[in-house]
Amino acid sequence: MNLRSQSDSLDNPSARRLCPVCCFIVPPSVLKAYSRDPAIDPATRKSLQDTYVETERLRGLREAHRIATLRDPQRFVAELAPHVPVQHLYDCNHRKNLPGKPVATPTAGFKTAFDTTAKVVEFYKTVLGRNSVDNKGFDLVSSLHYDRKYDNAFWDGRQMVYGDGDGKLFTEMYLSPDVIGHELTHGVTQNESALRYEGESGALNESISDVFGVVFNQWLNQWAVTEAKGWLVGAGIMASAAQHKGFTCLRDMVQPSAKHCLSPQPERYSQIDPTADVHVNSGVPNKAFATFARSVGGQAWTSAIKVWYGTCTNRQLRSDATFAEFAALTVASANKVGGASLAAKCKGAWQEVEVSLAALDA
Amino acid sequence: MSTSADAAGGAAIQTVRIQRRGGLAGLPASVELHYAALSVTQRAAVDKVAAAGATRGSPAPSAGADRFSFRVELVHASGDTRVIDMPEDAMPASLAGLAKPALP
Repeated sequence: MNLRSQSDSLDNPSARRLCPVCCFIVPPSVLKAYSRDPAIDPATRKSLQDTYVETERLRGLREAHRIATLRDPQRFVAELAPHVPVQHLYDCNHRKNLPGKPVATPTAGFKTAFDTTAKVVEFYKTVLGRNSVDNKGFDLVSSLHYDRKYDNAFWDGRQMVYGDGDGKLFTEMYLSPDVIGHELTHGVTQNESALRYEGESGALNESISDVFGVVFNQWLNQWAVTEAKGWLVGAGIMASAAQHKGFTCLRDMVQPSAKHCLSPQPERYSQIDPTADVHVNSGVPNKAFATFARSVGGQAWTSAIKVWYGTCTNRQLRSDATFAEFAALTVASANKVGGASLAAKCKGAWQEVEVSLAALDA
Repeated sequence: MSTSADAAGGAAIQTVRIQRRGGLAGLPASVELHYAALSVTQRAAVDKVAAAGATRGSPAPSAGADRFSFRVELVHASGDTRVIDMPEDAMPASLAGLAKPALP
């Protein structure tokens, strides 16, 4: 075990906010043994001892919760304090078995994935008032080094999974903060509207992940809506061969069809192919959001993202929603968040991408 | 030339086309291979796919989001083509890695 690495992560403020005790899965017996090891410096021993004590306290709480739920589930649910999401990191070691093996000695890559995931949780909590993907403190599982040269990251319905890329087109998928925000947001969508992963609802599902992913990245870097790089999806995962050919991102929400996009997208509703992959047609709602946020100005996380979040959590958003239906709900949400002037800007953004105004008016 | 009789098609398989779509990047990828040029493992995987019985359409996708999906086309000596759609979880690993995206 690399105690220095462990201690560094435990000292990380964002890690503490997310989970003060269970930063990585370390068996209590190991924590206890190291906390008594005279070969380890006193400060680290104290940190390990504190972690051990807190871990045991949490275990006790969870057991009490389990027993109380069995005895009187209604009463206990009503009194249950909000659960703080705990992160669990796993190493697939280039295999495809999920979740892989628990990580006891986090390398730099695991620390990056952990810290960025913690920041996504913080973004959702502080900006949108949401407690993890289910708003109930769902524990977050991330598996790294999935398969060999795997050019992808995905949400499998329960956890996030990251490949290392092939080193030519893509590098490690967790290196782009917006990608982690994108995958975690799939968990949010699954728990809210459960938009079906096909057709226009599938493209909306993808767009929502892109939107929250990039706005998380803007928030993380304190970029205003005028910062062009704040609208790029996957800028941090482009490897040398892709960069050499001039590709700076997977997608650009301001210019979805631009030449610097490795995966160019349609920008207007009249350009979409109904049979295309959901990651292609998402360019239309992506551009609508970018246009809206840029027309509002300032920082996208102050009001624009709240309009989209209000839409995504609206019970009226059906799992088979069309672009027009989603657009109508965003306009209603904008009216709630910022009144008629914000709603007009939202409507104008959808008009720019040619999403049916008749449906909006209806 | 080594060929395989597709249980559903009857005639020998000569060419295998694999198309990949989806994934976070949404980059399409495809490859066309002669069945005879495949390794023993890959041939066995093709035979397994052919025997699975799935055909063109919308198979139950792998759970979650940003997963890959695959379309395998088996071109027979007779000229007939059989199209099989596969979710990522069901696609044999020895075939999944063959379709790689190329830079435009």
